[in-house]
Amino acid sequence: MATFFIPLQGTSLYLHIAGAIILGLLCLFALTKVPNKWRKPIVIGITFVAGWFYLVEFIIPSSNSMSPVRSSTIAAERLIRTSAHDLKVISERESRSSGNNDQRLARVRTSLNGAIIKLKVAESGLNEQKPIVDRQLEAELRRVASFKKTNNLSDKMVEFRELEEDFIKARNISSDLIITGGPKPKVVSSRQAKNIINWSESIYKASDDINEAILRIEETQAALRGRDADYEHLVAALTVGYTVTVIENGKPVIKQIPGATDAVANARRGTLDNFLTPYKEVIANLLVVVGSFAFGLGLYNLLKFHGKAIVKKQPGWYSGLAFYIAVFAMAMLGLLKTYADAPGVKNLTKTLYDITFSGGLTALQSTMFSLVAFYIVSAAYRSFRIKSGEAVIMMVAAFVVMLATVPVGMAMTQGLPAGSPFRLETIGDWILTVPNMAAQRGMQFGISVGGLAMALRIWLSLERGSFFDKQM
Amino acid sequence: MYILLGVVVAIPLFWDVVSQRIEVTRDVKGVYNTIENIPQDKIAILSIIWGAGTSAENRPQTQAIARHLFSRGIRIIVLPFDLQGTKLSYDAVEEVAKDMGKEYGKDWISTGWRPAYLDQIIQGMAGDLPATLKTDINGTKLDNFDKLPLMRGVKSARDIGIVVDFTPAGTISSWISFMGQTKNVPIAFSPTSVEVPAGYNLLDAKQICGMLPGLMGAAKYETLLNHRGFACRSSNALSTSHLLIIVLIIIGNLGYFFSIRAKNIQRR
Repeated sequence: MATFFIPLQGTSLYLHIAGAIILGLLCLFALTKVPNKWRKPIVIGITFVAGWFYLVEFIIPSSNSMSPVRSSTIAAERLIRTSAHDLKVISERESRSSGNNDQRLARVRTSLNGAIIKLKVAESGLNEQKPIVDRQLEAELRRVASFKKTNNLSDKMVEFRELEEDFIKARNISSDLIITGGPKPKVVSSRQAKNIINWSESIYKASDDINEAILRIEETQAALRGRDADYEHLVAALTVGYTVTVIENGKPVIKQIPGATDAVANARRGTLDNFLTPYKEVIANLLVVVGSFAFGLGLYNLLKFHGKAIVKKQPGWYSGLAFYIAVFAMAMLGLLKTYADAPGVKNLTKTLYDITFSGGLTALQSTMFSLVAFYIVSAAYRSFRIKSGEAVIMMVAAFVVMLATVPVGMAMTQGLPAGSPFRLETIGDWILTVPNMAAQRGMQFGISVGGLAMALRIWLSLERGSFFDKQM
Repeated sequence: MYILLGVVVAIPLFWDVVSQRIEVTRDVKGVYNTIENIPQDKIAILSIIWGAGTSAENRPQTQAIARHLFSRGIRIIVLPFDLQGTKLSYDAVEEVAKDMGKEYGKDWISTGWRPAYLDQIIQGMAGDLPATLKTDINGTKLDNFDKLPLMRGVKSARDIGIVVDFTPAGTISSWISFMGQTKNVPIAFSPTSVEVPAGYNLLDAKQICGMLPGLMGAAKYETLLNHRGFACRSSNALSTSHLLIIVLIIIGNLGYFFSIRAKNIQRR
């Protein structure tokens, strides 16, 4: 997808914006003129495509050239996890001084050797990709240079210079530089260029990750050859990683050393892009634009509703007037605060904006939420009645949890030994982490399945809504 | 009754009469330990979903976490998804930054309001953070390292040390799905009290590294930092208000039982 590289500014920018608005209005107009029987399928189709993109992008695997990397990293990760599990079992058995661990240790050594072999296969797969990406980088660099020359672009154009620097940096990372010729370009593709840079960086980072994983495995193998292996540390090295404190510039600095499986997983994730991945950013921007239209539509509906109330002097029309005053006053103050240049006007609008926003809107919203506290107290006093055994259990649990979370509750049982199961905070923690969690999980399953069904219905436009007069 | 509630909440807020011991629980310790172990070259993202309504709980949480991150020298990106929260979080973090001598642009930035398309923004950030967020709250481009030296070396999820989600809603699932599980970035959950019971599932499944449960979570965190701030002072107000609710429930039920008894006696 090629785009003109020179960033738009001045008249051409405003013309592009105006053109986009006119095109949008034309699309809306065209949609209103489409016959009814075609309008619904068109909207259904657009909704379907919008949801389809993310689903398909997630499912489609990366290119076939990456399949040896994918399969090798999956196999390596499985072997490393098996080794880590075996080391954990060995550690537990040695602490109990039970059983002979020689067979298990032999299995660990075999698994770790196998993992290194798989990782080296993955790395050779990545190395095969490097020259291909380097060729693309070099070709883009030549296109940038040629475009710059033919269009007499000034070196002061910041975005252009930065993109050129990105290309040069990406090219310099490569050790296999292959120069190819190419046709003279008429436009420079900035999005394609970014994709190539991202792909190049991900390949080189994946190589680094694989080397990191191999280092962890070799450290583990060396430790196992010694007499006093720290199994806990080795398990962490193979799985979640560990931290070390080093001295840099005379100051202690904490460094995170990634675990072997983490590094392998990162390497695999870094190479999972497919042909749809570069367009995720475009789709995300489109969704933001469409969402912004929904905001405008909501505002239009509110203005229409309250305007009608004011014009027809319906009961409560003064609320509509207050709405209009509030909307336009805040909008004007916000715009003037941002765009006004005259110092007197700018200071005045900033002061008024702060008064209306911090003093008015924020304070009112906090007040509205604060009323909830009074409602809760009133509801608790008037309606919380113990009429059954279940109500007793609920009330006792509520009292315990309420007291366990506040200092006065903790103070009530602080005389008991630390860790005692009868301390209020221990009982409260048990209530929250055992029965509450079980209930929450059950509810979450139900909500998720229901949500999935509803989302599917909306995606396929099966749900009855204001736009559809009957279910499809 | 309403006046009584107002009095029992207001008095501990204005007069710090009693300094009660606050027991720190393992969910709060999880966040603390994670932040203690963040490498210095990584950044922290504070996801701000709260507004004025829940600022009483979320603001102290934000300030407590920001204080800890600043004390460790970890750079902070404040990422607001709420319109009001943009200014409120900026003021909150700025207050802590000034107290600790930290500079905007060098130690922390705010990206300004982003529309709440969390899934798209988080996915974009995971791949290319500067390209997704583009500018800070003042319109400065994120790749302008002269004005925003904090952003040097920050490219993607690999450079993120922790994400802390301050939210009154269930937005944590987006962070877990697209940043936590796929990119192995530690996620901390900092909800209002209403969302706390749901957070224990995530804690047990190790999908979050820890949780700050409401205002008491912020108080516990301040205790860990040895800094007695607003949250610690408010814990007394929480204590008195909870006691009041319990007493009122007991009084209401006693009245109910006595009225039932009186009716039964009358019937006989």
